[in-house]
Amino acid sequence: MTAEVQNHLDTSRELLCVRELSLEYLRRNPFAAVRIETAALRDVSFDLRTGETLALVGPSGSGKSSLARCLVLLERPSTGRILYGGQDILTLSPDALKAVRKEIHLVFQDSASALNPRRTVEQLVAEPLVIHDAASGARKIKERVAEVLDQVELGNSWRCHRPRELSGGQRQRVAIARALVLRPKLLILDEALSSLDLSAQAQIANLLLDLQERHSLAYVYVTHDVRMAGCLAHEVALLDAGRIVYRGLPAEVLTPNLQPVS
Amino acid sequence: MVRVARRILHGLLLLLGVSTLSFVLVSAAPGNFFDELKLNPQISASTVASLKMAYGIDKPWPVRYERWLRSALRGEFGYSLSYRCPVGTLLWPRAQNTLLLTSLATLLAWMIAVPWGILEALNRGKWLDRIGGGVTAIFLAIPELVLGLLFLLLAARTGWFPTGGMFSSHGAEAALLGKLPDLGIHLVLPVVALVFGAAPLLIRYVRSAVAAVLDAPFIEAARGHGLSTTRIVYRHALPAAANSLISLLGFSIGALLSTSLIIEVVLDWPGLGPLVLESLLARDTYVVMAVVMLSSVFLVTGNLLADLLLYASDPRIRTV
Amino acid sequence: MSMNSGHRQLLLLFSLVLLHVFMVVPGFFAPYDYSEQNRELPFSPPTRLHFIDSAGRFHLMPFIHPFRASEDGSAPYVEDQARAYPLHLLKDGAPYRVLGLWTARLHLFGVEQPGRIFLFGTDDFGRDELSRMLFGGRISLLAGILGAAMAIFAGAVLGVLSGFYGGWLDGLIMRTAELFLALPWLYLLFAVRAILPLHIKTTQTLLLLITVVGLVGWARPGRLVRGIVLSAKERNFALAAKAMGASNFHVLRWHILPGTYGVLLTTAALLVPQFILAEVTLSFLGLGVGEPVPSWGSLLAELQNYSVLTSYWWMYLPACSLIVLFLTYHWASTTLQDKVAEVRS
Repeated sequence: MTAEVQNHLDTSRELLCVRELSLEYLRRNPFAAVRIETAALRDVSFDLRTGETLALVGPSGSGKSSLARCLVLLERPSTGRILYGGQDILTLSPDALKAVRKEIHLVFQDSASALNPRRTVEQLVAEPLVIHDAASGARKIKERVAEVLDQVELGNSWRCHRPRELSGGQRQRVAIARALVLRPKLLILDEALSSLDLSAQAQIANLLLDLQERHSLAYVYVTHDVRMAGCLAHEVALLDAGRIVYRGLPAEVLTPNLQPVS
Repeated sequence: MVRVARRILHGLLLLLGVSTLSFVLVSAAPGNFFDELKLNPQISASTVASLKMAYGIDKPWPVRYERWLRSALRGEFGYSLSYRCPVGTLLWPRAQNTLLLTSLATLLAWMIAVPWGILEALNRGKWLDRIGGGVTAIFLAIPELVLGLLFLLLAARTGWFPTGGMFSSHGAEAALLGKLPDLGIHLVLPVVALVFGAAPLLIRYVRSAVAAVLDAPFIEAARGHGLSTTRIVYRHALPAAANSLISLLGFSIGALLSTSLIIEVVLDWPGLGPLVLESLLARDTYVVMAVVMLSSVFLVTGNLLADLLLYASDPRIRTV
Repeated sequence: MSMNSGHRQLLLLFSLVLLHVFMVVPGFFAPYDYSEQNRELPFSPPTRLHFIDSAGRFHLMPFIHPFRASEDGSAPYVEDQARAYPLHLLKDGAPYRVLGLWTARLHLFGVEQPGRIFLFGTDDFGRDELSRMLFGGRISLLAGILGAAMAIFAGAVLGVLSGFYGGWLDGLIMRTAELFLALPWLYLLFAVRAILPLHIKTTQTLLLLITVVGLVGWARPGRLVRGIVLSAKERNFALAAKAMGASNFHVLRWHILPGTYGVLLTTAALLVPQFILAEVTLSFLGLGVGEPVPSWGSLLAELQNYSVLTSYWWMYLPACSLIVLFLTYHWASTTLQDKVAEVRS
């Protein structure tokens, strides 16, 4: 309780600062002298505070997924800085980076492909603990797994099942449980609700809001669904062709005055 | 056109690589031809040494390789130590004998396999397919070695066929027309043995290629239109299955010099098989190398031909 | 035969294991040592087991009459009715080594001296064919399994390196694989065989030969593994692990390698018979292990002699065992392929 109060008092401190992030792909055509450059991201900058949600909204091809991947370093941006807790994660040593990775987690859109179909729910959720050697002993691991499964409202009885035996909504809960197991501070949700049917979307959205309040999680919510963005976010940024073209409160962004974003 | 040229260049480079690899492998063998000579007390050490120098065996292997390459391009492929002549003079007649055998056998095998495979595919799941599948499975399990021995037994017991060789002792000197029946009767057993060895696998592949196509929706549509089975098979199914069959054909052509090794040894056919075996035992390295190279040339060329045929016949490959 | 697939698979497994059990302790199942000669009984036909003696009595335990040279020349051997030896189970006999570790003397069956039981007849030197087949089978089966294991191991390692790290390493490994595949299999075998000494005296040298031969067969498994690694590398669950900070080692072990096991198993079922055949071929041609150690190939090579080929049918028995072995492996490989396809879906 004390830690959470502390966290609330510190909300003025920026958790994540992205500055002038650019990502360019160079395709070399061997028979032509010209190198074709595709820019996925151009000069993207934004801030995010602890416990808040930033929604990145844009059509397909606008660079949202590239941005999500850059934030967890699955892609290396060409220029720019990503400051997490004041440190530029692009320049960290591998050990320091590994420590930071405990606090930032990416939840994929398609839970079926993001969860190894051969593994059980328990193994999947425990994987981050194994990677970071963060829990000593099988019993501690089991306890922590049971704890997070409880937090995502997935019964412990699902422990020994495999992903294909679960519904889409349940699988996404497993993915979120996996994200929570190391007590992160920032979750990147890459279209995490888009593959779910409407009722599942509502349930998972409520779960996310709930978790945000309880654990002071910050979310970067990447989506093309403007309405969902409006429900979940404290701030919305519109992305088009790799650039942020507008940033503001959800109410402002959702008014019909703005150009429609499909 | 560029793609064709690139593919051919790739094939040539591959052959160069193969020649290097085989040269290194064969030259890495301990002991050489002259070890036998050294054991003979009548030949002095200096004679052996000067013989070695004359054949260039004492030079380091890159030098030997380069000289061998040049000799290969001239068609000589180096020098045979056991027979004391350029390898080429040994190679070509033997290669011809092998090719005679294998081309005949491959042609026959394909002529049997395609109709049988189609028949099995058309009846897939039914008793004809099951029995056929069982028969091919049994023949696949019989090694060529055993097949050759069984045919040898047949020849020995019945006396209908000669037990080996290419001509009988008087046959080789006869005039051309007289030679043919003699050659023919000597060809029967090796060819049949090879066909029994190659056909089962071919039948398998043809069956699976055609069966895969027959399960496609467009065949069902054709049936729905009332087309006869023959028409469906020959005008629609076979062309669609052509890709796999062409690759298979390329492989069959590529294997022309190598499939018959065992049969040639068992049934005493004077082809490349017995030559490479005796040269291996005598450590006559250049002969072994030449045979290996020649077979690889066929293999690489076979695959190349298949690729080019695919390119010519399948428009999907051209437009990629 | 209405057996469900589970029963069929068990039967298959049982047959495979049975065939290979002979390989582990051939000495137990064989009544004699493979080099024990009986010069007075060359090419003796298989000993017949009798259950009913000349007086018409039935014996539970069969007995044999030894062969002796016949007087009239109608057949080379006749049964010596005057002497009979009962079959004994679990009898003491010639010593043999178990797994190279300790020496034992117990044999599954045998007859009292000077009786001889040749269930599969004898060869030119009067050596028991059954014993030679069992010991020879060990060599051939070991060669097959070891060769296949080597090929798969080398292929898996190189395939993983090639697929996972990509770049110039991938190019180098794949071009080399092409090279190896461009040589016809049998000739590649020969070329590799040529590197080793011509006359192989001991089983150790043979194992060395098989190891080298096996390593040479890495190209096909290597390409298969590379394909799997390439696609697994890009799957979301592998990327998720990377995003979580997993080391390459973890990603390989947890996510990529498990995807290769199915393919490696089916490849093994295809490769083992191929390598068994390779050893049999080499031995047949005189390039395998030398006398007196038997191999199915050298046993079959005796059939190249005209009189052996036409007169002594029991010398064909090694061929039958080869065929049975290949049929079993073929059955195993189709079953495995079905199973793997099942798991994948």
